[in-house]
Formats: sequence, structure tokens, C-alpha cells
Amino acid sequence: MYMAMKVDRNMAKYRVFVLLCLVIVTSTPSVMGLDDDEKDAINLGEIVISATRTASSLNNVSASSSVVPERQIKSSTATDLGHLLATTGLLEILDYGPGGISAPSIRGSSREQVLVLVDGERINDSRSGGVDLNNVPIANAKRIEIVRGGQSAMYGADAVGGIINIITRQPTGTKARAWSALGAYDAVSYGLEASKQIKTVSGLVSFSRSDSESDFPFEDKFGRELVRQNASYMKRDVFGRLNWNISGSANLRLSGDHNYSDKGDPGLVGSYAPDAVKTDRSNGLKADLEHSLTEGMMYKLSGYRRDATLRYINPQEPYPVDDTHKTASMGGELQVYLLQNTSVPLVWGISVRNEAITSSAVGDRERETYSGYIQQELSKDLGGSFLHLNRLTIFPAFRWDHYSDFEAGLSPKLGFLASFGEHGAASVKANFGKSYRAPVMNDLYWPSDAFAVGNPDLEPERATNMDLGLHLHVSEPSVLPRLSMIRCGVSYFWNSFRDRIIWNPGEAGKWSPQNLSEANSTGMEIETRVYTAFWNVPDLLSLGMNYTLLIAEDMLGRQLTYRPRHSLGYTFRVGTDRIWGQIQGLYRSRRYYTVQNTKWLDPFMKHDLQLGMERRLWSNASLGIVLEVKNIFDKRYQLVADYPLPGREWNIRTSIGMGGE
Amino acid sequence: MKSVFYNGRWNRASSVFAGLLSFLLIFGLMGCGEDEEEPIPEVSKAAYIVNGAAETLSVLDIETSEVTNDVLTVGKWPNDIRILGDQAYVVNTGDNNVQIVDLEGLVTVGIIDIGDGTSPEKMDFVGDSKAYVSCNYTNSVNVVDLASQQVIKSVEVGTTPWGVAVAGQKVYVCNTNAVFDVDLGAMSYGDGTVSVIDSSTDTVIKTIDVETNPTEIAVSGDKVLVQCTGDYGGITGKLCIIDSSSDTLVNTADLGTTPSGLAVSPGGEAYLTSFGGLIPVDINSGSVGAPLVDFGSGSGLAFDSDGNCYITVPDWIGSGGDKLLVMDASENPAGEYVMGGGASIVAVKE
Repeated sequence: MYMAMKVDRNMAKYRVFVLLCLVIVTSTPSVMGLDDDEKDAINLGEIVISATRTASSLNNVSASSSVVPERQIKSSTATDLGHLLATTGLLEILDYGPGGISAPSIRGSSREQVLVLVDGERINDSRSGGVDLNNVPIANAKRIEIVRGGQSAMYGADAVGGIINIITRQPTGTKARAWSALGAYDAVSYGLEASKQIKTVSGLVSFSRSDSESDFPFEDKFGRELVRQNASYMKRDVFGRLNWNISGSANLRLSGDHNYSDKGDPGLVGSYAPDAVKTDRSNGLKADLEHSLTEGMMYKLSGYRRDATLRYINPQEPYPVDDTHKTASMGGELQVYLLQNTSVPLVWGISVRNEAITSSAVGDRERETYSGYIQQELSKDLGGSFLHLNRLTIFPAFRWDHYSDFEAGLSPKLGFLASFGEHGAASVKANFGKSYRAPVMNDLYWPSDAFAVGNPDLEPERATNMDLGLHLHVSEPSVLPRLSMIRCGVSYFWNSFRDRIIWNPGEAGKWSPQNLSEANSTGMEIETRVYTAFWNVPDLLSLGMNYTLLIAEDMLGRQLTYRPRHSLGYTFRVGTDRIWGQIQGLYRSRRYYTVQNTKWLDPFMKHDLQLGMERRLWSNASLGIVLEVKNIFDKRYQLVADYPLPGREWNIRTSIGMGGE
Repeated sequence: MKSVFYNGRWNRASSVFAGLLSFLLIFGLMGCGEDEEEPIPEVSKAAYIVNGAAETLSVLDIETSEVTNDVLTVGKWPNDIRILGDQAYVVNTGDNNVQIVDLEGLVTVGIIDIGDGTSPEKMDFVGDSKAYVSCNYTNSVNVVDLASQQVIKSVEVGTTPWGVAVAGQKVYVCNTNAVFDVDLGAMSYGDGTVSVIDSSTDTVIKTIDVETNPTEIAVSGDKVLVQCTGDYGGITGKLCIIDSSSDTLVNTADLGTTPSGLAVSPGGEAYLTSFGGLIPVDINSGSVGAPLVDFGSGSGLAFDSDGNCYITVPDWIGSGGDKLLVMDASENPAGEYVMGGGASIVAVKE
């Protein structure tokens, strides 16, 4: 009876959405119009901030970088960073499925070796080291930047494989938007956002919430059709920002956020956890003051505080768990930009950070970090007289970190950029640097129990990073008039990891972490994007493709676990920002999940389909709809052994917006 | 020389070249081959080693001293191997099953489903018709009919059972009583006991008090030997000796350290692996001999009929240091072999 009512309710929801789609379609007299936003769409994706801490064109930075632009974020029905990045193929995502965590890996790094930032503020947990990307909302994301290779010279600890930086939206004009979505497995989400500008003050608030039952069918290794249970989740996010343009040269930005999630943890196949629950709560406040003292000098003063609580309860006998971990981090940073708009701009900064942890696992712990960094960009114009070499730039950078509980020291990096052709159509990029990952509190302070004890004498994991790449960026090539832009790049990379922290059983079998292991990762990345123009629409057809060859091996020549040798992603898109269709695909080769390479997950390829439309109803209101079918061929696959992922899923999202820039 | 780049644009030759290069790089590299399988060894007297980290089997041909590693993939978290006739039974804790391996072809010929959430750990046979599998999470021993390869009964025993051994028609089960105390935030070790099951009725007929954290168990004549691991802290390991005719505790030997594995030599002496060496214990007197330091860091062990002892030494960090040590009947080193990852349990077939 209950099930029948539930089905009826769902059917009613679906009918409403179908009706809404029809209304939008039939009320649209024209869907091919262009506005200025669309014309700028390509260029918006070409700016990267994270590589140098200043807004620079992708052509003008030495680091291998990719940007997920707002258009791509809007094209997805994903509500969190993990699900969004999993479809891009730009990095490796280890997804434990609904209810589980999602962890990044770049160039063979571990999840703890990827630094995740939100507007430059680190959110890596110093207790466990990593970030659950499924808990990072993207409702306010303007763009997501991925910078590959070691970046400790700019960002300190954990930026070994690279960084992910979420750039959030700034309030512009007066506008409001509401959206809602329905999806497979009773997924429901909705959100509201509004911004307003009054003279020199502008503000933005947003709210979103997602719920899903997520009890999806899967097949276990014995061919039994089962239902994944206790994979439900509820997430809500609130975000607010206030900008005050104090004077023509000074801006004050205040922002705050609240994120909460309540998830079931289904456990791994065979060892189910039907009653396990995980709740995450995070509250953050941040203030930034930017002040231009002269035309060539600006400083930015930032202060922040973030309180996060994680509670995990699994009442299952005989090993029940009820753990609570609280983290309070606060800090300040002064960043100074000197000699702006010259060929020798300089960025330096100092920061202090305090992290206090209260944990049922590692007790009360505190870490203080004092840091200083400097990066200069030294450019020389050569006029193109020699091999069309227009400009040579080097990027020396140093960062010094002092931690209260372990030794870190200096992290150097040297970037090199040679730009050929006008506007840097071709470039050779190279980077060499050293990076490190901080030992996490669990490693250092795990209390002595029957099976394990922490090691307070641990050193950081260290890495030497090197890459060399050739990049091409050509707009409107004369020989191929239909092409509006081609961007492609090939990069070779080499990383050497040493002092890797490995837990090892000592006397009486008690496990303890030690700096024991070494590994190397080498490989090649190819990234290509082609935009073509038809009927005066600049990017009517576009194709993006990325491929990574990764040979990440330990000292015995064995591929590191969960690092595929071959990764391929593609996106084929047709349409404008007003109406579009898109197919995305992802291929992963064999991934070993035992250190000895004796067991592996089979290769898979999956494809997602998205159809979207946005239409102005009248002068300042618009309606949008996105229909997404994930895994359209219902491929059974896993990214982590014994954590099945759903098969074919559908999502439909509608939005209504009012107001404009 | 013709210009490749001109005002930020490129010529047709460049575009064709770049396209070809990308094509070759992607599809050429994707064709790289994967590893090849190991050949299957043909042996008559062999030690079969479970590699707990690699989740594979290794085989030592005892007559030729030839080792073949990773000959067969086993299930998740293998914790025991027992041999019956020409078949080995591997207990895969993480998969909640027992994998039946034909030792001639080294192929899996059956899977016995022990039940989701049971966490099977150890097993032993009563004759060639029934097997008893301890289920750590459900405080029970599941009885398996070997002909149908089905669980036919679940017998409730003590808390968090581990080792199982059969003496005649009786099945002895170690109840570790090791549970996680949420309030303490640590493991808690209650009183260790051994349940005695009458295999003709599959009911518990007696519960015997032993020392803290009984884990491994073995039979020697009319004696049942119970390795009590202790609490990995102040309470050291003990060897409890039970008289199987009366099912009473008759002796307890203090090992002074934390043992890992237990086996009985053909001569009737007990040996226990530990970090500091192999510990001999005289079953009759309960006296503990000096550790044999040549055989330190051992985990599992088994004897052949000639009195040679095979001792696994796992390298859990995965640096390739996994070994199988051989001790001859005179307690001297008689061989050392490189094993697969996490070599932890061994059984001998003759």
C-alpha cells in the first residue's frame, strides 16, 4: 500500500516535470539567439587564478592547468564537486558510491596529496588529510580550476599532485534564481539564490538542499541481483557574501557558509553496514580586504575561521563505532602584489594558521603554521625574430612553512614559459619543484590501542615534481574557417615521491606509521578542445578530449593501486547556451586494488547524455531545463572495489531566473 | 624555412600533423599489454601459502624446492586454508565465503556462501562430510554440508569466535570475547572461553574457561591446545592445554610475549610464532623453551610428516619482503623462499 502511494506520488512529480518541459518548449519562439555572454563564453574559461595567485590567461602560466567553466557547471545536474569532476575526466576520482566519499588523485598522487581550496582557502582536513568531494557544494561555483603538479611553493602542504580551487560567484546586479531537480532513486534537490546591489554594496545569498534514497540495484561478484541499502543522503548548503566597494581602490568582502550532510554508509559489499550514519557539519566565515595603494601595488588582507564536525556512528556488533571529530581552523594572510602591469610582477605573502582538533580518536590536538612565500614573474619580449619566439618568462617561487608539530621547511619551484607566435599561440611550458604532504593527526597521534599506535616523529612525505609541455591555442585559423578555436596541449610529467607514510606492523603486531616507501609516477597528458562556428554561432559544435597515460609505480615496479594506466574523457557538445545537447564519455583501463597487482577492476567506458535549454520569457526572466541521463548504456562498473555504483540514472532540473547584470 | 605560425594561426600541414600525433599517442598507448598468468605447477607434496595482502595462493613444491607465487586468486581477506583430500578450502573473510580449490588443476571448483555479515574466520572438518566455520560477527559456528556445499545449521557459541579445531567427534571453538568498547574508544577483552560442540547433534555441550583472547587452536592426541594472545599490552600470551576426554583445562603455559600462530609437530610438541622467534612448548609439562630467533616475525606455520616446519613471514607494507622459512626436525634453518604479498597462512599436502 505504502509502496503504491509512493509510486503514485513519484509519477505525479514526473508528470509535472514533463508538463513543465513542454510548456517551456512550446512557449519558446526562438532558441538560437546570441547575447554578449555567449560570445564571451569561450574566453571566460581561459582565465586561471590558482597557478600564480593572480588572474592570468592559461597561455601565460607555466603550470599545466584546466578550468571547468561556469557553462560546464551549469550543464551538469551535479550538486557537489565529486560528481561534477567525475564526469570531466580531468583527474582521477575515487567514488565510493552514494553515501560514500569521493576522493581526487592527480598524476598518481594519493587523495591526501591533492590540496582542495575554496577561493584560496584550504579545506583539507588536518586529521585525516583528505577532502570528501561529495561534501563540497558547487551551487555557487563560478569556475573550478585544476592545477597539476607540485604547488607547495605557492600553497604549502598537501599540494603534491596538484590543487583544485573552487572560485565562487561574486554578487553582480540584482537578480534571483530558483531551481529544482528530480532524479532516479527518489533524488530531489532544490535551491534559491539572489543577489542585490545598492550603490557600493552588493550581496549574494543562496540555499540548496538535496535528498536521495539511493537504494539502487547492483550485481555482486556471484551474479546475485541485490539492492544497495543505507545509501541515502540529505545535504543542505547556505552561502552568503557581501561586497563593499569602500572607495575606488579598496574593496571589502565578507562571506559565510554553512554545509550539512547526513548520509547512510552502506559499507562494502559483503560487509554491509545497514545502520551506519555519517553526519558532517561545517560553518565558515571569511573576510577579505583588497586595497590598491598605487597603480603598481596592491595588498590583500584575509582572515577566516572554519568549524567542522564529523560524527560517524555504526552500532553494528561486535565492533561498534561512535566517533566525533571537531576541527576549528582560523588564520590570517597578507598578500602583496608589487610591480603590477610590468614585466616583473611580484607576489609575496605571509600567513598564520591555527587548527584545533577535538577527536574521539586522537584526543585534543593543536597545530600552528607560520608561512611566507614569494613568487616573481620575469618576462622578456623577444619580438618573434628568432623562431617566432615572442616572449620568455620564468616563474621562480619559494615558500617557507613552519609547523608546531613537525619539520617542513622550504619548498622551491621554478616555472618556465616560452611563447611563440602572436598572442602566445604556441608555448613550451616546464616546471620543476619540490612539494610535501603534512603527516596528518591520525598518523602522528593515534593513541596506543590493541592494534595501532601513532608516530609523533614522522616527517612529511616529500616529492620532486617536473613537467614539460607543448601547448597550442589558435583562434580562427585561416585555413579552417569553421573553427573558432583550437586549444591542445601535450605534457610529460615526472614525480618522485619519497618518505611515503605507510602503516606497518611492528612488535606484537601493533601497526604504526613510518616514513618507509618510495614511488615514481611518470606519464603524459593530452588535452584538446575544438570549437567550431556555423551560421555565425561561434561555438555551435565543440569537442573536448583528454587522455592521460600514467605509470605510477612503487620501488618494485608495481602500479600503485587505483591508478589506471590509461584514462580518457571526451565531451561532444552541440548548440548554444540557449539550447544544447552534450555527450560525455569516460574510459578507465585496468586498476589494481592490491599492492601486489594481483587483483584489479576491469576497464570500463561509460557515457552520459545531457540536453539543456534556457529561454528568456520576457525582458528579464528566463526559464531553463536540463535533462541528464548518466551511464546511458547501463554499464556496471566500480571505481573502488566492492563499492558498486548505480547503473543508468536520469535527472531533470528546471530553473527560473529573474534580473540581469 | 616555411613559417609554422603566422599571426597566431597555423597552416594545414601543422593541423594534420597535430591530429596524427594525437591519434597515434592515444591509440598506440592504449594498446599496451597487460600481465601474463603464471604457469600451473604440478606437485605431489607441497606447501600452499595464502598471501593475505595479494589475496593469492603460492605453492612450494617440497620435493623440488620450487616456488610458484600467485598461482590462483582467492577472495577478499583470506584468513584460513585447510586441505581435505585433493582440495583446499580457503576462508575468505571479506567475501563471507569458503573457496574450494582443486589442487591438481589449481582452479576454483566451488564457493560456499557462509552468509552476508558473518565474517567467517577459521574452519575445520569432521570426517569428509561436514565443515565447521567460525563466524566472528554473528557469534556462531556455521555447519557446512560438504556434499551440497551449503550451510545446514548455525550453532550459537561465545562472543567473537575465531579458531576452530576438531578432535574426534567434538569441535572446539575459541571465543575471543574481543569487542570494541565505544565508551573506552578501544578494544575490550572479556574472559576467553572455548565452546565444545558435539558434531553428532551440533549443539554446544560445554564451555571451558581459558585465558585472555583465545585465537588459535590445535589438537595433539588427547590434548587440545589453545593459543591465548593476550591483550597486546599488559596481559601476555598463554598456551592453555585442555584434556579432550574430560574437557577440562589441565595446564597453562605463560609465553611471555604475544604469539601469532600455533601448530603441533609430528613429535607432539607445540610451536608458536612470535615477533621474537618461534616458541617451543612441551605439551606434557607445559614448559616453554627459548625462542628460536632464526624464525622470528612468523605468522602462520604448518608441519609435514618429516617434521619440517613451514613458517610464513608476511611483509605487510608491500615491499616484497614476504618469506616462507623452513625449519627442519632438528630446529635448524632448512630453507627460505620469497612469497607473494602478505604471506600469512600455510597448509601442507602430502
